[in-house]
Amino acid sequence: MLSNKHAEQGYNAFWILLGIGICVESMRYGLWSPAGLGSGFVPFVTGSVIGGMGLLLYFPGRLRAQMEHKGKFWESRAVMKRVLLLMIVIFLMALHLPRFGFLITSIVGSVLMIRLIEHKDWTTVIVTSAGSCLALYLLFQYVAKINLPKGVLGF
Amino acid sequence: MEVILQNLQLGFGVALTPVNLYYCFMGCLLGTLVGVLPGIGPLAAVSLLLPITFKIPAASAIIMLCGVFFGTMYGGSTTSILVNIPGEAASVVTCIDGHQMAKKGRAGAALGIAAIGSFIAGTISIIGLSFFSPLLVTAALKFGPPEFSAIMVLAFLASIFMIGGSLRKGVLMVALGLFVATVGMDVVNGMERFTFGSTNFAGGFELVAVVMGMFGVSEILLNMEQAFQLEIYSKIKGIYPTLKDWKDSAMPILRGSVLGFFVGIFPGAGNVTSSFLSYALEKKISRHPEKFGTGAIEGVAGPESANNAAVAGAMIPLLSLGLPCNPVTALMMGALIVHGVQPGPTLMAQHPDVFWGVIASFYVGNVMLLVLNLPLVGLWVQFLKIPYWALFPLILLLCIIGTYSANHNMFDVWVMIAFGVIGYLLRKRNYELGPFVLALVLGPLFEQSFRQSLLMSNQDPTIFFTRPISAITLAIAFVMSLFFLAGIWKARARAMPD
Repeated sequence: MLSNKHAEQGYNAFWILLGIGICVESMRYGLWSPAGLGSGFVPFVTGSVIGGMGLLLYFPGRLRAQMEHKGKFWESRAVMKRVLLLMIVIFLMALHLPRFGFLITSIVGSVLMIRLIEHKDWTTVIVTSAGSCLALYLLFQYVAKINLPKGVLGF
Repeated sequence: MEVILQNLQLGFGVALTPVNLYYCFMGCLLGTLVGVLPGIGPLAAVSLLLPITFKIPAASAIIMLCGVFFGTMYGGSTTSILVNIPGEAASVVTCIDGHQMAKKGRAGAALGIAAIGSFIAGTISIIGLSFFSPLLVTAALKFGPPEFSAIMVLAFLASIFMIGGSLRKGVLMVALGLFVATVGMDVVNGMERFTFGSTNFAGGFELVAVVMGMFGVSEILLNMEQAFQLEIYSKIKGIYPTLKDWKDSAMPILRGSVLGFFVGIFPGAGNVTSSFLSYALEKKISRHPEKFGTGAIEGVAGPESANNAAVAGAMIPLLSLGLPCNPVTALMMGALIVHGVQPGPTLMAQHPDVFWGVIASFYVGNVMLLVLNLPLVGLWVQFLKIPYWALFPLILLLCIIGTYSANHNMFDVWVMIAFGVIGYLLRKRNYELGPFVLALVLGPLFEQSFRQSLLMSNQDPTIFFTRPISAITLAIAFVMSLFFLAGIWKARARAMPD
């Protein structure tokens, strides 16, 4: 399991790389021109600060290291699995939304999410999902008149 | 004075139209509902309900969002008192004594004094808002780009210091917010930045998508890690305070109101800081400080009044200067801009209906909230019993609907998901999202003001120090930074083992 110490170092390495990347790209837009500050100036400063802070965080003081680096990033494998699976469900929902439309995608997504959060029996899960999604669909599509994504079936 | 009263009359004319009364009521109702749910604070509530306001007129939209903001503040106390889980961050201190009161069978008194204190504080701070805002508008008309840049620097610094936690992470979040704000078209010369040739990025990131992801999606992902088993004290008796409760609470309510109002005006501070300060103040001046933490009604009355007073206080810089001083008002500014209304010194002259309508709706909303929160407290307790397995998918679907409805563009939904994962990872390692949102909303305005200032002075940066208002603001920012840094170093020295 990933420890908080390693996760923190990973974050900080990412900040340093992101900062460098922003600075390099900013220079392409020009930091300075005869007319004044270039388009790249503000992003360059933000990139420098991000990278600089990443560097400072990479070398924490003794006290902060003691306080922040204890424990695991995820409490257990089960927690990690649940969070990652939820991310996958959300990703799949967004992927299928244009093809199957809001109603079908949200009902299927909701069923999967509820099963992930708590092991309720299938009847409860399906009835709750279908009821709540249908209510949301009717409320937003017909009352609030917001055009929700329509799938191949036209809803 | 007479002019203000005339303008207030105009405001009430706007706020009391049936349609605005409806939106005000809906805002208060939805705000209280969301505020009651543990963990979902005003920022998440406003971001979730923001897209609903896109299709309604500007005045109605901001009236509804103000109702949501106030409502979450009212609703947050219910969860703190009955469940010992703060409904929003500003209610953390209410848990200390409020829940102890509930345990002793005085949940009704705690809820009652929280609602009445919030009402009194709200009323006092709205009166302050009515009179301070026009004064500040008059002064703000003299502000130019250097002054606005300086105030925004103060807001960024204050947001970093006020959030607590790691200073370095706070600075990083402001820088990240400013960077994300630069993606897309350069506000000054139209050059595309960080778009990598994609037309989707040309307009920059949609604020709603970023905020929904950061607060809505990340909230669900974070909550997936914990099992919710709430112990609710649902037996509520005697909601109206006794004479002794009044005697004990009157001064804390008044002190909390004044303190909260002024703390709310200050950039970056807001309701969380005001409630903590109020609790500390009440404990300090109490004749029986040992009672605090065991169910002292003063520990509920003061902080609850302070956090509600701060709501109206925070509206002053937004309406008068066009500068949101906390992330929630930053979102409100986003909502106004979507409607083509630019908050700032000219708002009062160009859109008096919005300016005075919002102020008047505060009075109306405050009364609505008192009615919603005192007799209907039993109803809100029932909402606490909604199982989380049914609630979380609904929140996610609301995020998707809200994001999609902004532009009817699936790309925004992908942006929301990406920022949801980013927000989750950031919150896992205690990165505060408030400074990020503030910087994201103020970023384009800051860059524009900063570059305009330098253009005005032929690239001479001393312009920020030679203009009095800008110089004073930067001096305040400098002194504030020193003050906070000294406090941090002192605390660190104390915590260091020998």
